[in-house]
Order: sequence, then structure tokens, then C-alpha cells
Amino acid sequence: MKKILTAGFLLVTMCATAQIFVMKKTYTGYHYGFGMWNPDDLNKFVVGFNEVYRDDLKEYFSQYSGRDRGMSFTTSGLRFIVGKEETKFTFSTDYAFGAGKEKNEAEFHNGMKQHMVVKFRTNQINMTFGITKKEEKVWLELMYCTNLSKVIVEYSTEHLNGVNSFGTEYKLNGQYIGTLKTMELGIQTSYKYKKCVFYARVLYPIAVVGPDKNARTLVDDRSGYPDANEFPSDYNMYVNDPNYNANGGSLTTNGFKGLSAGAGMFYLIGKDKSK
Amino acid sequence: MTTKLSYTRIALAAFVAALFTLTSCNRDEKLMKRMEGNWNIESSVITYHYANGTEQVIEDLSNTGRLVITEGNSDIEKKYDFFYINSQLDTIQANNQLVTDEYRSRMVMTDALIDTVNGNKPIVWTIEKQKRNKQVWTTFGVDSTLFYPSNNMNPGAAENWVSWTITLKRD
Repeated sequence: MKKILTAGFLLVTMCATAQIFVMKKTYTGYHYGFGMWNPDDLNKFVVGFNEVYRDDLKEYFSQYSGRDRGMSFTTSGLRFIVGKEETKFTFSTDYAFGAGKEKNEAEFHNGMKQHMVVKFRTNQINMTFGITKKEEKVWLELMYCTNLSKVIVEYSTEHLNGVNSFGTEYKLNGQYIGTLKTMELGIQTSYKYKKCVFYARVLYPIAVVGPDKNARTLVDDRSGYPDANEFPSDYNMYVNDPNYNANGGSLTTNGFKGLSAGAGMFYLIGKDKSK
Repeated sequence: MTTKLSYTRIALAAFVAALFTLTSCNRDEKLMKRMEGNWNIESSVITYHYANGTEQVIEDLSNTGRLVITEGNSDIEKKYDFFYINSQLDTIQANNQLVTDEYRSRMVMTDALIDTVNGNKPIVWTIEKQKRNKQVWTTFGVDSTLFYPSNNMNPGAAENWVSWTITLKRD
């Protein structure tokens, strides 16, 4: 895959200096996207936690639907259009950074609150290739994306004085981080109006390329406790089995991938001197 | 001319991409770099918080110790030297590594609590306030035990919580 990316980058760089373009431009923009994911493992934690403390809880943790991963993306890249016919070819490469989060909260009868914030961070290297129509105003493209996702579970306890603590008074408090690298394919359609381009894209993960299966748990490297510091999926196992992590009780990043769609706008920078 | 323009555009795109990457990765390093220096424990407050909503301040001290932070093994691992003395003249004196986490929610003093049986433990502070010359850190305990309480799973089952808040001011 590295070879494909390197070859693509070299192709783009070489083409940037050639004289065959109708358009070659740098762009920067923004889009908002929704991603589907499989919440079963996280809901297993939610259900287990609610079950274990049902007598002490005033408000339970809510279950996740798996359709609510909204993310804001900023993107920058290079766009090229080549050809002499009515239908021309276009290709691009860009980098996009996306971020989003989902908040969840449980409250005990004594007023203590447990917060669980699931944060999503994603770094995408995208390459597109397609055709232009309607005097280069409409672009239809296939997309290839290398997506490096980071999932962070922030688990904290809000005390009666309002301080939200990540400390060692409760063993599970902490910041748990896991990663997932996927290869994704998709389509993108764009409409160019002057220097603004409005676009929509759909991506689907076709392969997980890392990390290793055993390294996809969410780990808190700064936990004060010496034993397992992986965020659990099976809360009952976590409470009763000190080796829950070795016995399959940990949450993994496997479920944090799925069909995603986004729409937004980018701005073509500078004067077009190719024409 | 065209070639020069293309290189400029590539450089611009690379710069924007690098800017995103750098600003997202180096926040904890910047924080730790800023922390280096001598800090006075301007105030130290230990408070009991009861389940019925009442509070009781057990100890409220001023200028009761210091924290020295020096260059460490890496950009995110500094060396610390911590000294604290309370009204009973009990002391905590510790030095090792001071680290934060990627999202700057905690400050961890490794090996701050000496335990010859189970191994030394860190003090994990939650960062409440973070300024260039002033820091407010808090650590909590449960059922009258400040560090590593045994009732450490269920916040709904505790009778009281104890907090220790220190305000650090740069010397």
C-alpha cells in the first residue's frame, strides 16, 4: 500500500510541473460527515455498568445507536484537470483531519456523576480520479482513502464540588486510547462555482491494515494502577476477573469503522494560469 | 514561471497539512516545556465532601512546600522534586518523573508514594487550572482514604470523599 501511495504522490508531483493541464490548483476546505460504526462492544459495557449499579443509579448510561458519529473535517490538497475534449479527466490528492465526540453520563443517587466521552480523531490521505462534465463544473470521481483513526474514551468522575476527576480514587478513571488504520474506497461528486467547489463523498472500509489484532484495545498509559489498564467491554468481567483483559473482556477499536458520508465545500486558491 | 507556481502550491498544501499535524501532536510537549522551573505551593486545602452535600475543610495551609521541575528524559517526561509539609509536620518528599497525558487532563508524579510491599505508586493529579505562572491541581480519595482507596469502583456506595487541592505559583 505504501508503494501505491508513493507512486500516487510522485505522479501528482511530476504532473504538477507539466504543461498539460486545464486546471491545477491548491485547495483548502471543510466538510461535515457522519460515520456508521458498530456499538455492540461499547453497549455491552453500558448495559453491564447499568446492571451492576442499578440500585445506586438515578440516571443510567445511554446506549449508542451506531449512527451518530458526527465529525468535522478540515482538508487541504491539490486538484488537477487534464484533457481537450468536453469530458476531461480530473484527479486530486488531499489530507483531511476530522474530529468528533459523543458524550454520555450516568448519575448516582448521592449526586456523583460518571462521565464517558468517546472522542474520534481521524487523519485521511485521499486520492481521487474521475471525469469532469458541463465545462468542468461537475466532477464525478472514485476515491481511495487511507484512514488512520484514533478512538479516545475519557472516563471521569464528577464530584459533588463540581470537579471532574481523572484521578485514582476510582480505578476506571482515565483516558483510554486506541487506533485503527483502514483502507477505504468511495465515490465523490463535486460542483464547481467560480472558486468554490461543493462536494459530497461516500466511503466504505474494505480492509483493516493495522494495528495488529492484539493491539487494538484502548489503553490508558497514565493509569496509576499497576494492573491491566485497558478499557473494558464486559463490565461484569472487569469487576470480577482481574485478568479480564487476557480473557477477552477489553473494548477494541474493531467496531469503530463503517460506511461514512460527508458534504462540504473547498476553496481553490490563487489565480488559474493554466488556461 | 508555471513550474515555480506549482512548487509554491505544493509547498503551501504541505505547509497546511504539516500545521494540522504539528498543532495536534505537540500540545502535551509544549505544556511540559512550560512547566519547567521552581513552583511554590501557595495553598494546600484538604476537604471532606459528604454524601448529604455538606463539606468540611480539614486543613488550609499557605506556603507549605515546593515543586521543582527540570529537564527530563524527553519532551513529555520531566524530572520533579516535590516537598510538602502539613500542620502535623508530616511530609511528602519525592522525586522522579513528571508526566502528563495527551489531552492534558492529568499530571502524574511517578513514585511519589513509597510502598515497600506493593511497589511505589504515583500521585495522579487532575489539572483544574493551567496558566503560565499558576497551576491548580486536585486529587481525590474515597471514604476518608486519600490515596488508592479500597472502595474504588462504585461512586454510589461511598459515604464521603476527600479532596486535596494545591495551588502552585511560579517563584
